[in-house]
Amino acid sequence: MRTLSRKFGLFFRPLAPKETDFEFLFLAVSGGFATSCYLWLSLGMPWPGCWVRRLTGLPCPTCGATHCALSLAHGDLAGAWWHNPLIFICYGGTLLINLYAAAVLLFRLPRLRLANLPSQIKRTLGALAIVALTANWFYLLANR
Amino acid sequence: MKIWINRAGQNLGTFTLEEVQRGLDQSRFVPTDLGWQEGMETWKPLAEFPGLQTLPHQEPPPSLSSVAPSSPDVPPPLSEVTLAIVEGAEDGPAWERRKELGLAKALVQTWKEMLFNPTVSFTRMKTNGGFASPFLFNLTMVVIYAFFSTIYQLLWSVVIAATAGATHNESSSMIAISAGLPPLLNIVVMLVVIPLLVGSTFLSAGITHACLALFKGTSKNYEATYRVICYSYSTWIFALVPCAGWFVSGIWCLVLTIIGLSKVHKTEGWRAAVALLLPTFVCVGIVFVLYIAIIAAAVASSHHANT
Repeated sequence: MRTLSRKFGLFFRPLAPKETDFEFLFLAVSGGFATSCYLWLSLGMPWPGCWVRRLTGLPCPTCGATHCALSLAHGDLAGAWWHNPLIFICYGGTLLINLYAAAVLLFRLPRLRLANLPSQIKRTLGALAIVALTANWFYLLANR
Repeated sequence: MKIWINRAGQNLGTFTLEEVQRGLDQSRFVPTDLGWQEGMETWKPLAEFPGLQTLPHQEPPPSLSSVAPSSPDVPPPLSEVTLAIVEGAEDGPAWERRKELGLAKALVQTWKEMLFNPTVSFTRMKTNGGFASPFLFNLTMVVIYAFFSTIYQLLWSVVIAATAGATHNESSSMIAISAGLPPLLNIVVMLVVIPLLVGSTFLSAGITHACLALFKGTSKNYEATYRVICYSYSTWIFALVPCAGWFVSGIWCLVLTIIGLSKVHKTEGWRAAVALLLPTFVCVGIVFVLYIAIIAAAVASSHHANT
């Protein structure tokens, strides 16, 4: 085991007995969710529309998520990015976490955990998330 | 170097060697707690942890068994005040004791506790111990709901088929759409909906927990929030009542979740309510303001064009 970064408090450590296996949970939930969505769409079932767009004609911050996923499923990265850049990044992140989760579960590797994230980094990350969300929404409003 | 401490699967945090030693001396930690630090292959009990000294005769840790009910059928009469003092005495709801009570009895008792006595029920709700129990409860509620709604839809499709011209009546309602499906497809849809709903509970718990953390209203981890959301799904039993059922269960579920969050995270009710409704408020509020601004701009420009 070694410290990945003392500054960020990231550690690779073994899972304690009876400790919640977040990697398994994440993989199972996101995998099950994706499979269910795929089956739903394969059946040709109607996909619920965005009620914000229906009511106001304006997109909500998550509008384009379904089209983004469909574009990704067809390997159209540019199209997926165009539909909703932030969701595209989230899908990419989810894929990476799933790959990591599958690897640690398969090879019984130590798990990545945060010890104590400094509050300054927490605040910076929070501010970045708000900026990204706002910028993404303006992008969607501009391209509606 | 920091030491991670874990008790019965629950992380207690990271501490220095001196802090752990002091914790052991003051009985805040017990020799059976597990510790891990960088360089170790596995977790070790603190009694065997290098550099720590444990006292030979220490009192056992505060366990759930010391305050566990004498009979599984009769929960002990622990008041809110008592529970507030006895941290870690939480053992509810009845679903957590389903092995002793039996599945059906535990389910019915949980409904009763959650629906009619939510304040005490959430105060005595276990906030750790894994995701399995709340997950199973959530799954059970979703399965019951999906099963009965499929039955309703099948009955509905029979009614539609019996009514001339009704099948061509277009509606955006999901019930109406699925009512027009063949029976087998209705069942397939039900099977697909179940994992979708169960998965979305994890997502909604995550969003709620993040919003609560934003208002500094969290005193427990994500698991506690997930448990509140799952057990609040008790209200779904009312969704089986045609027409008004959805409305009643939806409102009641919101109320239960707010009570649950405030009791479990020991925060104010308004904080829990704002955290729960924040995503909706933000979306609706900002879109509403934008919409008003666009209308105002359109009116101003048309007025300008007329003059």
